[in-house]
Amino acid sequence: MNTKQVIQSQYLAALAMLKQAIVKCPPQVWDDPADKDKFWFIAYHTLYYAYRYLKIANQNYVRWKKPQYGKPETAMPKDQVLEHLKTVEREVMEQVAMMDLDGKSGYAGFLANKLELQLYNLRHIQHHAGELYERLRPYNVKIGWVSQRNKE
Amino acid sequence: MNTKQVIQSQYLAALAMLKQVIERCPETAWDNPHDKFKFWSKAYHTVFFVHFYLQDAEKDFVEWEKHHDPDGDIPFTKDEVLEYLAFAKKQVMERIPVTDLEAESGFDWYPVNKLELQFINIRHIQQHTGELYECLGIRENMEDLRWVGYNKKIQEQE
Repeated sequence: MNTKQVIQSQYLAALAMLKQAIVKCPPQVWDDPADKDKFWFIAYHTLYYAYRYLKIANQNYVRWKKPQYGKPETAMPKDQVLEHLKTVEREVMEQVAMMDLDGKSGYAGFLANKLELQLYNLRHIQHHAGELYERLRPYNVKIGWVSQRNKE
Repeated sequence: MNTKQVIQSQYLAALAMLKQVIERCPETAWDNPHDKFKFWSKAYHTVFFVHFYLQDAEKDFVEWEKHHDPDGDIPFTKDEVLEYLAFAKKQVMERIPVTDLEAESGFDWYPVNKLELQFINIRHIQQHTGELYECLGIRENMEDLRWVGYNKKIQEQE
């Protein structure tokens, strides 16, 4: 496998874990008023940045509504978040294929190049998936680790 | 930066986040008898696999000098896990330059190349770090744990 196929496989694995958490989230946890950062908000925030940092250029694409921490918002339905996740999966296949991995990151300017932005983005998805997994721990839902999704 | 330096930068960023959450963990949460998976055990497990999967193959793995059965009754102390984490950081700096990223993973349960194994290993650190952040966020009301984007020293080597 070449570097781009590895990146795609790892994005799809991380997204599969995020999807498990979203699908398995009980209704009372989705928008629990006791949570400062709601489950749905963390899931959408993760996808928002995954989508954005996958774009090969920061222009000429339809922007999603930016999630804002600390501002009360109406919960996004689970189906809608899952639709966003599907879109990100498609973007993984399309954008990574066109990406110049040695090119400038284009977004988080402190990162060395597009390759580092992809690893950064992967870590960001995985970090929030980890938070959501931990939040679901008291509910005894079955969620597992996904290593790779390579399709050669 | 080349691919190996990017991998090192992102390993070290993930490990810096793990270090942060270990350091901030209150003593009461470190070995809480109510936890099915203890905080110390998850932190140790994460560092152990960083060390393990940085080797060429399972047969090349030599346990850390203070390793003992993490499923036993004796918890690792916070200082011990931080010492192991410092060792793992050194392993990142030593092992990545001599790793052939196009070679097979070296671990037969992972049918991927070494490059993908590094991605899996970094994701594994971040998954458990996310879990530990959530532990402290919910139970200890700790909201100021930071995100670390990259490692500045690696970038300055350029």
